[in-house]
Amino acid sequence: MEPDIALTDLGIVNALGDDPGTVWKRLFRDPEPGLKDYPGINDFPPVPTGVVEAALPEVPDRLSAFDCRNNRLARAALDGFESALRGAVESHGPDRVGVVVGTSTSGVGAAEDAVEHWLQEGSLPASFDYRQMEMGGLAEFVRRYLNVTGPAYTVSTSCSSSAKVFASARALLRRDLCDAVVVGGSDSLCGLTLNGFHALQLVSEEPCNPMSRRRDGINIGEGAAFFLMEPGSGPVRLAGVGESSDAHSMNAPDPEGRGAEISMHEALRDAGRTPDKVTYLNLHGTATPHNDAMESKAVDRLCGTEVPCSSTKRFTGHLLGAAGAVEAAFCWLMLRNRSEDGIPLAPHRWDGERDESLPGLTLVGDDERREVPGPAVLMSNSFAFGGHNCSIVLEDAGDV
Amino acid sequence: MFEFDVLGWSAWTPGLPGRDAFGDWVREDDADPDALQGEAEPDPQRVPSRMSRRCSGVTLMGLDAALTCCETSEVDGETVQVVWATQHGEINVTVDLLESLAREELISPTAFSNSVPNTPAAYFTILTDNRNPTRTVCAGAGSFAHGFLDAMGMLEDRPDQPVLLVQADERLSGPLEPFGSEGAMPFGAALILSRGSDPEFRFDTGAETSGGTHQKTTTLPPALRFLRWHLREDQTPLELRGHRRWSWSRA
Repeated sequence: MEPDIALTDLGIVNALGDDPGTVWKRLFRDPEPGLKDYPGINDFPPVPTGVVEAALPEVPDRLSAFDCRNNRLARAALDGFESALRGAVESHGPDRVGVVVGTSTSGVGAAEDAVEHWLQEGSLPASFDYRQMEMGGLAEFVRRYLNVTGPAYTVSTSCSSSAKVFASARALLRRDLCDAVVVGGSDSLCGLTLNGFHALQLVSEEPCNPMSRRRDGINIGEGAAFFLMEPGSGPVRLAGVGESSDAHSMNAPDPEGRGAEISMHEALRDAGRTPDKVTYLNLHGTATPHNDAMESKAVDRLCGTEVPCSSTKRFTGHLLGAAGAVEAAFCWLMLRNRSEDGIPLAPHRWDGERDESLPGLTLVGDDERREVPGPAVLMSNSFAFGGHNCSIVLEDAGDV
Repeated sequence: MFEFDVLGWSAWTPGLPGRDAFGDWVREDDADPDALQGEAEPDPQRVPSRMSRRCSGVTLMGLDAALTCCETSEVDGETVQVVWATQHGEINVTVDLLESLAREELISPTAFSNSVPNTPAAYFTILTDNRNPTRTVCAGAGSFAHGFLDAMGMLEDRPDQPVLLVQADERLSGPLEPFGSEGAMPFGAALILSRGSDPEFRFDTGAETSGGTHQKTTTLPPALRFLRWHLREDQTPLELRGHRRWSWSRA
């Protein structure tokens, strides 16, 4: 029997705020999406974007080779639960604390500036180091920042990066290679993704409308979320992880959502739960025409249309490589805020224009709670370009 | 500590462009690492042309190794779990895009969607109709070791399903050239790892106590060192050092 795996603490920064309390307030108690118009790139008009406006901490001098926005966001999130992190390192020893983190951008923003400088001046700026843009740089920065020497690596599968990390990290605990793992992700706004998604015609000029008949693309966001993962069962358990591949196309999902269905099915099977036991599903729900169509079909086939669902992407934008971790954090916060009235559910924000050609999923409204006798079962989906899918299941113990 | 078997392997380098060439080189005593350098380019015909014209050199090297590894083993590429390790990912595609951005040119949507490090893993699953879990692992000079570790984790979760572990990397060039390791070489390498009832090998990792600095790649990249160790049936354990110690041995 595998030991239980718990997510015992959280640090988070995104367009809703830079601590869990503020993020929770703007997600549930006083919902207020955090998108702001971001200056246009080249000739593109400004578009709503999940930019983090808070001042970010600097990177320590000893880690200047890793100085980039992505790592500053990571530091901001890590500092949010630094006493729990320090406690884990002190009680277990640095070589027993691992790091498994996801990103799709790493510090490519720093590389953009560096390449521009190189084209104009013929040299790189003195502040640039390749480790800022290297994908492995996020894990290495977190490892060095926390002064730990357990296994430390980055998983980089685009939009499912920081969901797959939960499976990787769990294996380290189950095999007793680590006593604690720092798991999560960080992604930062940069010209490459803003221009790239524009070039793919996947960016909406409005706040996004997941599941709407008017949906026309994503808002890009940035931010970071990290958990402390340890053996144990509380306060929130990582109950299951499922993964699959679409084997379909580089930049569109399987239109029937077969990979998405397998991903969710495997996560529930891993958690020992049947689909009717799902309390709430956090949709990948990017508001692209293709994703929402295939995801709603997959959810309908597996779970039916009764399970309460929402996409939270209008609140924060699509955090790409950090989406999995940030949306897991929303599920964690829902479970942590259980009251006598039940589990509070993150609302689905959109224009209300149902797409009648899709299965009619039950989309959560503002201020909804669900009474759940026993453990609540929350699932979160992350589906990536290239067809790399991942679903995770979080549960609480069932008491208030 | 993990136990495992190796069900298949392959490699590709510009001087040893394929499994047979690499296998011949490995069998020589005192084989010269310079033989791995060369001018060959990976054969785009491994991949349907509508795909191959979009594939970078590092993707084609990795696909050659991955596909040949499956074809020369008894394991169907459709059935494996996949861990794709890479230090630099699609670095040349990315630098080209960054140059376009700097010149305020419109960037190519295809190049953008092929600039992510999971690009070759995605192509592999499309080519083999593989629906299984797939990960891409990046950990600097420790990318092979951590990819191997992730593969062991996948075998723990699904012991009946072998894992295809691939690494492909190209040299840093252009503005990034100063950051390249001395002697770094482009390569692709692939292994199929399994959990058997009587495994032949062990893999372990522990604290690095010698004040570890990152191992510079002045000889073979770790993935190719592993292949050489495995194919020459070297009885002494293979050890790599980074911020941790990694070792492979015969059970």
